Amino acid sequence: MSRKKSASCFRKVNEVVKRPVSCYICVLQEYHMITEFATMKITAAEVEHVAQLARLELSAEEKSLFVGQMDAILGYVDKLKELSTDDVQPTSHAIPVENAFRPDREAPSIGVEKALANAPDRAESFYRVPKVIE
Amino acid sequence: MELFDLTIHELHNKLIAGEVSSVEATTAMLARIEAVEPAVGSFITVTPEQALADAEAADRRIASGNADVLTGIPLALKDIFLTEGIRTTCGSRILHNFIPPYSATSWEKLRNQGAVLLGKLNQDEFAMGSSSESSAFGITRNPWNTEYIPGGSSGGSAAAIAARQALATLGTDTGGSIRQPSSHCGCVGLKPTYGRVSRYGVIAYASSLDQVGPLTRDVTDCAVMLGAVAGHDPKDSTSVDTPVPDYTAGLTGSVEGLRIGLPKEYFHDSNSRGGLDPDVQTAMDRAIETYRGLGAEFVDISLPHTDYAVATYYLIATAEASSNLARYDGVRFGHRSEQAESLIDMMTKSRSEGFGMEVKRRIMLGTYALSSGYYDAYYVKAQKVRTLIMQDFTRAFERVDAILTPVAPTPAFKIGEKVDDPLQMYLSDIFTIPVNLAGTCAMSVPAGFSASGLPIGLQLIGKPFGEETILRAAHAFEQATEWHTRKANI
Repeated sequence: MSRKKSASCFRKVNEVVKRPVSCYICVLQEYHMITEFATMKITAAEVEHVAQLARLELSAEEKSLFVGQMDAILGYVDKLKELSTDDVQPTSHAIPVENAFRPDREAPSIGVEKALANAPDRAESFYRVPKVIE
Repeated sequence: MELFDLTIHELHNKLIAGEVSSVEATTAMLARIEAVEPAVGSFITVTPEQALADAEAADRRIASGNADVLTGIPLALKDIFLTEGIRTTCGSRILHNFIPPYSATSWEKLRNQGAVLLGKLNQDEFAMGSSSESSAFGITRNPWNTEYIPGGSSGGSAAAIAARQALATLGTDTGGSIRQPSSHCGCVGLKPTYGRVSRYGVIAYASSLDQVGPLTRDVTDCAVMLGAVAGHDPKDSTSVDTPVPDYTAGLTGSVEGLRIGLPKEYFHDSNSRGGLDPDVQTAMDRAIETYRGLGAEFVDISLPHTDYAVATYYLIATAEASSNLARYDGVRFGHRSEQAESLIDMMTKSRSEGFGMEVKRRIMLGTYALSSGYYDAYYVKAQKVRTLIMQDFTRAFERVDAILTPVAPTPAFKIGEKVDDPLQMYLSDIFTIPVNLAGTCAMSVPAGFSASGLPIGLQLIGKPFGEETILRAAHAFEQATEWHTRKANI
């Protein structure tokens, strides 16, 4: 069962139970999802997956700490589900920001030496990184 | 009175009158920093050579009759502002060796006025925190009681004011990071309207919320500093091209007829937040009486979505952080792991070695909120609730000119008290976060002390680009009270 489904299907247990029962399997499945969802918002496997997406390598202690803490935080942010927002437009910026164009004029650039001054490793005018292609 | 006790406007007058030189004032500040720094820990980097060179240049400028109000004034910056040639860490090990090739516009503007740079101030790592305990360079202590946190994330910026290590500082505020430490350290701190101050050269945390602002000893200095850094910057496309008023000219001392809103959610409906600390409540009651005596009118208002602000913030801010902090990959600058065998491995190990726990936690939360399957349920949902929170303020400002609230539900907490419980730490920002989500301006003004002697700030929230109004209201309060004149015994 995908987490995606359980997230969008989240409902209070009593709402499901109160509903006319048309399909026992469906209700049972939903009940299972709800209880799973209600007990644990995030699993160790998911924490590992998210860490990989974020390019973070977590120690065993960090992983178990994050499972508990992220679970508590995600449990808390679930309070947003109390609000009906079907007809609300999302806000990405507090002020209306349109494309802010400027004239396309030549100007001095920072220059290679300055740009490379902080490079952990360099070769000529390039950043040097571990080999990508064998 | 010592030189390090002066305000900007007081030192400026002395400089112009020739009573003191900038070199003398700067030397006094550097000595003060050296004396109290072991107890407070406001700074990551002190820059004495730079400061004295700046001061000598300032003295020449003053002698030539071309002084601006900030010429020769010793200031310090949160270590989130890029300073060309001076290490800038953002409180993180991942930037422990980063020497910026250019400077932040806000610092350039101060510098063009002839300001003196004393150094770079401690902060929570990448401005993520409310206590300045997440810095990779050690904690900062509250000058009023060194067992307590100074607040965060601009904790060094506030502690340096309270400990009289700088006349004014710059901080950044994403969810309260200027106002909350200002409240906890008893200084004046202002978060301008989103777009009022350029963020070019300011290390990004959450780009739809971050804003630059001053921390000062009094409201006049706050107006001076805001006027110096505000304005459009072609290098920051989110900075707004509206004229910058003369903020000091607006400090008339009068609030006669000013309509101030009291949102019930911040004072009464506090069951989910554990309520207001009684000392904070007392300070607010007294402030309201003071304003009534000055002729302001109070209006009961409601900001009904207040209780959803923290949840909204911790989805939006972490999502933006996870994106902004993707740039720290060990390729072009900052820490690079020496253990890596492949490119991806190098990036992963550099990040894992370089970031601290709070930063990792927020990157993880943000990555989760943006990941496939959760994007709509978490990130888009939070953006929609943000709209509701903004509408709360728009409606309220149809009836009032400003809103008065506490800055924080309690005075400063003890060092270590909330380190192991991030959610409790996040909830301490309940009164400051809604302002960032709404994008408007707000400031913290000293309004009293707790029974145990810790400062308490009141928050004045203004309309978008209504900085003049809240500065005027803050100034009138300051004139009528003596809280800002008290000094931490350090």
